[in-house]
Amino acid sequence: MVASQNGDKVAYRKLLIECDKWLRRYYSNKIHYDALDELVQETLISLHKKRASFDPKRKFMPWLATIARYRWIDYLRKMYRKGETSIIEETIAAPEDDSVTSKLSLDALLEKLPEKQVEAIRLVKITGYSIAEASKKTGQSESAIKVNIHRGLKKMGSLFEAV
Amino acid sequence: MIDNLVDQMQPVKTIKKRHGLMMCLSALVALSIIVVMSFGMRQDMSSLQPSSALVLRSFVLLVLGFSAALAIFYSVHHPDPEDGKFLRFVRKSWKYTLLLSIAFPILAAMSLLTEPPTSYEHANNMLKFNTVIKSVSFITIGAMSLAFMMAFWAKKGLITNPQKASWLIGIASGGFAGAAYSLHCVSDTLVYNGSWFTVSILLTAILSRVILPHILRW
Repeated sequence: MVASQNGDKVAYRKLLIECDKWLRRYYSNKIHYDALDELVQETLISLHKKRASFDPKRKFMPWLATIARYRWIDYLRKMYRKGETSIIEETIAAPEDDSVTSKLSLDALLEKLPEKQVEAIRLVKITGYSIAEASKKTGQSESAIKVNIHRGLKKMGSLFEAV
Repeated sequence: MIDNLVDQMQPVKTIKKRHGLMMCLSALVALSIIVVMSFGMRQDMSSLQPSSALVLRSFVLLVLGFSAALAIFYSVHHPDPEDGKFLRFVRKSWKYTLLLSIAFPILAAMSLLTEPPTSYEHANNMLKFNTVIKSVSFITIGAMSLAFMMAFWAKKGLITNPQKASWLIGIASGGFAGAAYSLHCVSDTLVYNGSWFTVSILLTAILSRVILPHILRW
C-alpha cells in the first residue's frame, strides 16, 4: 500500500487483486451472492478514492476492514430504503477472520445491539425473510420489526468509530 | 475495473493530523485579527491585563474547540485495535470538555432563576440585547466558515460516522470562533457568557449537523 501511495502501479495492481479476493471472502456470508460483485467493486473504488487516508504507520487490514464495513452498512441502508429483501444462499467459504478483523467484524457490531434489533436485522437483512415472516417468527409486530431494523442499522453506524 | 483503477492511480500524500491542526490554528488567528480590526480589542486585553472572567471564558472555549477538533483529527485515520489508552482518551476527550462547558449555561440559568430580572432594563443589563445580533452572527458566520474548511479537509480522510463528525466540527469551530470574539466582547457576566456563547455554539453545531454530512459522506 505504501508503494501504491507513492505511485507504483505494479504494486497497486497486486494490492487490488489481493483485496478483491479478501473482500469476496469477507462479504460472502454477509450479503446475497448476486450483489457480491457490485459491493466488492464499490469497495475497491472507495479504497482507491480513500487511499490518502491510509497511515503507513498503522496496519493495513484494519484500514481495509473499516472501508469494507462502511460500504456494507451503506449497502444495507440502501437496500432497506429500497424496501428490498434478499435470500442468502449457504455460500462459499467462510471469511478468514484473523484476530484483527474479527475485532472489527460485523458480528462484533451486532453483539452491541439489543436482542430484538439483532433478531430483526439477521432475519430480514441477512437471512432474507420478509417483514411479515420475521414478524411471525419473532412475535414482534411488523412495525416493530421495521423500527428495530432502522434503529439497529443507525446504531451500527454510530458504533462504527467506537470499535 | 482493476485495470481502470490502476490506470487512474496517481501518487497521493497521506492526510496528516498536523495539517488539520495548522488549519484550525490559522483560522483562529485569522478570526481574531478580523475581530480586532472590525470591532476593536477589549481594553484589559490591549493592556495585557485580562480579567479572570475573560481568561476563564477563553480557556473553556479554546479547550472545547481543541478537544472536539482533536477527535476529528484522529478520526481521519482508521481505528486500530492496538490503539493505546491515550489515543482512546483523546478521541473521547471532547465529551468531558462538553460536560465542563455545559456548566456555563446551567449556572447562567440558575442565576436567572434565583435572581430573575425585575424589569426590561434589568434584563438588558444582564443579557445586553443590543449586542446579541452582532455577537451571535459573527460567531456563527466565522464558525461556519471554519466548519466548511474542516469538513472539506476531513473528507479526504476515513470519516465513518458523518453525523457525529458534523456535530464535532460544529462544536470545534464554534469554540474557536467564540474564543476569537472573546477578544472584543466586553460583557463578563455569567448570564451573558452562559447564554449567548452557548446559543452561538449550539447554532453552529446544529447547522453543521444539518449541512456537513452531505459533504462528509462517501
